[in-house]
Amino acid sequence: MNRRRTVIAGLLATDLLLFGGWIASLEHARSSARVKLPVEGFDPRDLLRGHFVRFQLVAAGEAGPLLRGEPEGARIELCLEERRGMLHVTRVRTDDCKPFIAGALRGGRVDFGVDRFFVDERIAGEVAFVRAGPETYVVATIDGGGAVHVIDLVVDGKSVARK
Amino acid sequence: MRLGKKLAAWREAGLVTADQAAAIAAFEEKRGGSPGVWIVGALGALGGLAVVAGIISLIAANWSSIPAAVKLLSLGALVAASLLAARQLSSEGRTLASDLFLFAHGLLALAMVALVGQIYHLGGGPWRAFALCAALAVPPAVIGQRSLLSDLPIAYSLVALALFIAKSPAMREELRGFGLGLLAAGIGGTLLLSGQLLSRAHAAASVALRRWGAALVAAACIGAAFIWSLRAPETPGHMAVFAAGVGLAIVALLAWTRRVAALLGTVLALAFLLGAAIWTGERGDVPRRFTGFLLFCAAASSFAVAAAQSGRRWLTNLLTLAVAARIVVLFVELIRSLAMTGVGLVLTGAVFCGVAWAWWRLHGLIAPSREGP
Repeated sequence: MNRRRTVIAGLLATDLLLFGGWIASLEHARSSARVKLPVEGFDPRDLLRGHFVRFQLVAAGEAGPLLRGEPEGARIELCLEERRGMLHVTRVRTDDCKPFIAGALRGGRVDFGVDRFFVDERIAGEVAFVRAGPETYVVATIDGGGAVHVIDLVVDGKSVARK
Repeated sequence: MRLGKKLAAWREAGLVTADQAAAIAAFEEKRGGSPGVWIVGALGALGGLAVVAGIISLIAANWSSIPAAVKLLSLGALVAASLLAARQLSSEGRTLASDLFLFAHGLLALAMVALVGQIYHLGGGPWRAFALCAALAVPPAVIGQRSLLSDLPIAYSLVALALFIAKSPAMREELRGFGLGLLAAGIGGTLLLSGQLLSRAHAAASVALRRWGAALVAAACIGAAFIWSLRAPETPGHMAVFAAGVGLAIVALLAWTRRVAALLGTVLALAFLLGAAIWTGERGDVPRRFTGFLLFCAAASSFAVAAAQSGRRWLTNLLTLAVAARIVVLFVELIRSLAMTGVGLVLTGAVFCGVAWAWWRLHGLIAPSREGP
């Protein structure tokens, strides 16, 4: 019975470290400077995980012509440059350019690991009828490793973040 | 049959005396309570469930208004509380209640991962969430005394694998045709073997492993039989080797632990099915359908005998019914004539009645065991 109690105590400590550390790291990643990344391919969904919007960063399309036959799953780092208030991909990162964005090559496209935004249930119906325009972008932070952390989704100039 | 009627029948048969029948009735009355007590208990349970469902509905209705930090802290507190309750109940020696709290912890951990993903808009494969929860569910399964706790890591692992396969183009290519069925059969066989190996070290985990293993193998056999009846799907070699390897390991285990007759029977059945598969690959539609039918009947009958030997009457009846339904389907598939189907069914029914009569005469040889799995 003592072994059982010890294992449960260990599991409690694991949970606290795992979930606490995970949430703390996500909060820390969100605290850096915010940038705007343009979005295309706007697709409202309503699945078991709640109302969410599938989107694709314009950066994925901009990265396509820059690829040089890298293998599937290869890590791709791309330099970013600000144009009209939003960040766009300029070239593959070979020096220490900043800011930069990192992803992995999957199915011939660069996957940056961000493709969904969970929206407030009360505005889900409204969001479903909005079409992506030139003022559609995500507000995000980019950490030291080039990973994107989404904070808000702006569709045609209007935020759809949870109130 | 109600207890009063049963007792009257037993008295008539001379199995119990009037005093014994009265004592049994009084004991059951005291143990189970009167129907009035049952109604009060049922109403109380219904009321409790209604209150819990109402609270959940209220929270769900206002979910969007609850700040993210409150959601995370509340769920985190529930995760921790479930473990603290399990630890406390374990100290008091109430292992059933403790195991139930550990099971709740396994479900709450998955909810916690989903909530973090929702609040921080995390993308990526959902298989990772299930893989993480499977890892977290292993320690409770190790210390738990009920098979329910072993069900969680097995279920989470299988869901994670299914989601990974769905996401991975390479895996989908590898599992084309009936590859997925072979993978399921291979994993099922591996779980059955693991259950056999763990039977002494961890009885509860062994039961769960056998349950999931048998379900996967049965699903693969039934799926194969039906698919084979319709068409001959392309089968990737790697998965066939994997499934055959696990099948051979099971045969080896049977040879080690059971009588030689069981081993010979299994080898003969496998050889028959393999031979039939090769033969029907070069023949027309009818032989293939008939082989699919035989494969189904062999699998379902094996499980029916196993269910009878483990004392599961409802499962035995269900599997027997499945065999009967498959016979009807075979006649419809092959004969395509209502009159001939009727003649075929009458003949089959007569054969089954004969088998049932022979079985009844030999009942003493295959009496169900008292111990379930």
